[in-house]
Amino acid sequence: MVNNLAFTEDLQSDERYLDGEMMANMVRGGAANLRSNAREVNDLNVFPVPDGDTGDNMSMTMEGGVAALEGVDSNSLADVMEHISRGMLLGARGNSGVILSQFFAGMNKGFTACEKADAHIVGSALEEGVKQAYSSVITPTEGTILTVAREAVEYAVSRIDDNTTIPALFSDLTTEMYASLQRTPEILEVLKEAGVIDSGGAGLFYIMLGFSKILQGEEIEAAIVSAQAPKAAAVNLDAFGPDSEMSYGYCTEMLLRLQNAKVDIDAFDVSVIIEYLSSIGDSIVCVKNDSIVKLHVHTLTPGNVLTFCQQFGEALTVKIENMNVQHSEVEAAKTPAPAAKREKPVKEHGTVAVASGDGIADLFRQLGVDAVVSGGQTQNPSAQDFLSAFEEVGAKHIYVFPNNGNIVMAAKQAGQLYDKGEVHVIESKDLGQGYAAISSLNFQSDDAELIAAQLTEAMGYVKTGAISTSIRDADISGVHIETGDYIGFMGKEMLVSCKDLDKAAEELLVKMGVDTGEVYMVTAFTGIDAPADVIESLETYMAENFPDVEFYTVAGGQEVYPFIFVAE
Amino acid sequence: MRNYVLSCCSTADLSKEHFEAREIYYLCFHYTMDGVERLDDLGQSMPFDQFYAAMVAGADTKTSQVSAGEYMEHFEKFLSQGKDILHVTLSSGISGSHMSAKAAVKELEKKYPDRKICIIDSLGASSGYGLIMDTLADLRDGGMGFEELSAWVEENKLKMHHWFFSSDLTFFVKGGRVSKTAGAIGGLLGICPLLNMDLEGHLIPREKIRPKKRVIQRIVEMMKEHADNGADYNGKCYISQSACYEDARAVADLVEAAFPKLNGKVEINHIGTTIGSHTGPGTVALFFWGDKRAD
Repeated sequence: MVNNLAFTEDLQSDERYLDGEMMANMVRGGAANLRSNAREVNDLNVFPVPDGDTGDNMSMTMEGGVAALEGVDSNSLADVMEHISRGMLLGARGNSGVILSQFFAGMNKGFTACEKADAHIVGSALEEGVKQAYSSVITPTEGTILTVAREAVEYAVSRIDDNTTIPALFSDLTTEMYASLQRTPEILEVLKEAGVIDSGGAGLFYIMLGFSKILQGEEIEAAIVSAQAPKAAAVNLDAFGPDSEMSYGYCTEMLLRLQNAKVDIDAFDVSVIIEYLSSIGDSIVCVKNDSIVKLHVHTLTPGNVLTFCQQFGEALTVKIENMNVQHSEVEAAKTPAPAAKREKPVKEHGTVAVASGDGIADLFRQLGVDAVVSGGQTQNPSAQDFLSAFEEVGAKHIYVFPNNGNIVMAAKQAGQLYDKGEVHVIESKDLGQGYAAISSLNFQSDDAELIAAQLTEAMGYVKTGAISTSIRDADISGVHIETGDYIGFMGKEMLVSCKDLDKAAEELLVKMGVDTGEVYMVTAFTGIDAPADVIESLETYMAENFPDVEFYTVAGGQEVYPFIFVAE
Repeated sequence: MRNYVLSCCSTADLSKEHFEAREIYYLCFHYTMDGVERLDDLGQSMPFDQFYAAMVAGADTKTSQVSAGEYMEHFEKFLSQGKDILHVTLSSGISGSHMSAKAAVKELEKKYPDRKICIIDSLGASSGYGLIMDTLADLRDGGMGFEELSAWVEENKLKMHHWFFSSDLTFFVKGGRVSKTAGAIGGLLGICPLLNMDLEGHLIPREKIRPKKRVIQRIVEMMKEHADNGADYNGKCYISQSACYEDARAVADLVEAAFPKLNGKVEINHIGTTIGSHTGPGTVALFFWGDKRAD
């Protein structure tokens, strides 16, 4: 079977229907297109600090869908979409990633029992996607990915008639989506002030553009670059023992750099490779872009692939995986582990917290957190990361501290997937709220609702301020900022911009109210970029000027923010 | 003429003068510090500041129970004068002295068959136990008889609220009075656990609060929530503290402001050496009459 990603004739044979194989290709293409534009999406950050991550989050969420396609050989749209949807739900990171995964989950509903779908059905599925995306957010904000999705789908659906082809439908969709995206700053003031368009909407646009390109038969450049698996799954070595028989072969992938010394690169035709691969394996993908060839084959003799291809060039990367092992993992994932395997007594109450920085993670553990999920502003954990932590804790009631507004939804999504107990997401939006709540951990009452309410109440007494460095000139909330300045802010409120770190820190502390008598204590989490002498001078500054305020420093070890202050 | 005495232990943490003025008889507990046996005698033989300074410096303190023999000796002073005894003990939730007292009574019943000795488990400690004794003295002075008073204290003792905080639970955990897991957070970056005494007279950490200024407010909120008649509370209020008078004073100021009908000023006592061996320095405890403890 030859499955040449972008050029296969029969994929375009009937443009009035969308089938499973095409959907899979579209998702791969959409993921690839977003991946190559992820940085641009990241930079659509309302604050001029290098912590934008919407592009990465959405990209990783898409990769979850792509990875779930591995080994799926059905051409049924419903089957394929079911895999994509589940993979994305688990892979979801960040609020935009969660919304995106819900959009696809809604589409999945719309494709229930569909072998293939015409434009009417696809239109309804897209509407279902918009509906589910909206319902995943408690208070939907307009001017975001939600608006962009809704307006584009409304427009595209309005133009559907009995002759509408799938490529035409997605072409309408992307056209309107682009226009809608440009309107987001008119709807959302913070975007206008920052001079950016909505990042989540932009991410969705790049995905849909990828869909559209695949449907038009275009090649997507980034598709050639190997997908970076977010985290290498641990290999179960027992899945292939000394007496096991190799039946599935090796999933073999290679990026080949054609060499002028060996071939005429421009004239080189990949069909020679495809022909050879067909003789030793199946599930073949082989694409050439300039001097790079990406190939994928399932074969019992991966060594031959390398030897053969070396006639034409040299390998850039090679990946060879034993599919008997992979297969057993897929099987293991399908059948839940027998209950007897878990000897650990089930805890009544457990906790999971997100922390970025080793110091913060250690402190949380000391305060009684059972599992720390690493991540933070620039690296949001996925729903799967949460789910793994929940499984590890295995308690009947799990209290989760996302400690970042952009992580709350992924935590909730994972909570719905956890089947061994109830997950209570304590919606801590920043480090301070999480620290306050975690410090008050107390399961004495044994009443989950009461515990959750008390933890939530404990968050009410803190303010969190952070210092970072500006990556562009800006004027925000009356603060003039130049590139490279140290800027201090609380949540979405920009407060301070200074050339010196110590001055910026001092000014931010004052803005946080250390001089009002209402702040009793400040905990300073120092980042990896906080110089020791600045920390020391800040301690002296506080002791001399505000002796009544208890001041503690904790080596937090976080990136991006030299200081995070928690005032209580 | 009254024919009974009120008796308790030194762990009720009132001053010597207070006990004497109210005619409340007390039996001294004892403890050892660095192997030397000492008497828990309301700060007479060793000033409290000196005691807590020694603890901070690492002195090893151990409390030991009052034996049945000592109780017998204490009780006999009154029995031999033909008086009955209403003796209230330190909470059985934190001390075995209640058992010793009961054992002593069993022995003495044979020798003094006509005398009555009533042993009541206070399910309280420190000046909360002290405030129970002071209230009993009021009722006694009001003419309440032995039987009636014994029934009254049994009926009302769980209405004595004990709320306290400490900036460090190390000593609580060391002395086994607070479970290790509950106490693990003591002293961590300004967290002050707020504890109270439960139905069974055990010390239970209820909330973890940071920083100290907020726990000072919180403990007064607890009093507003639980005191008889809320803000109109017109009973007495005692505080006991271990080497942290300023914190205790801050609580007292808030209490006096919040409860204008209070019976007198807040009385601030020292946490004595027995209780103090388990709290260490830095504990402030607030006591008042309120609703019956729920758990």
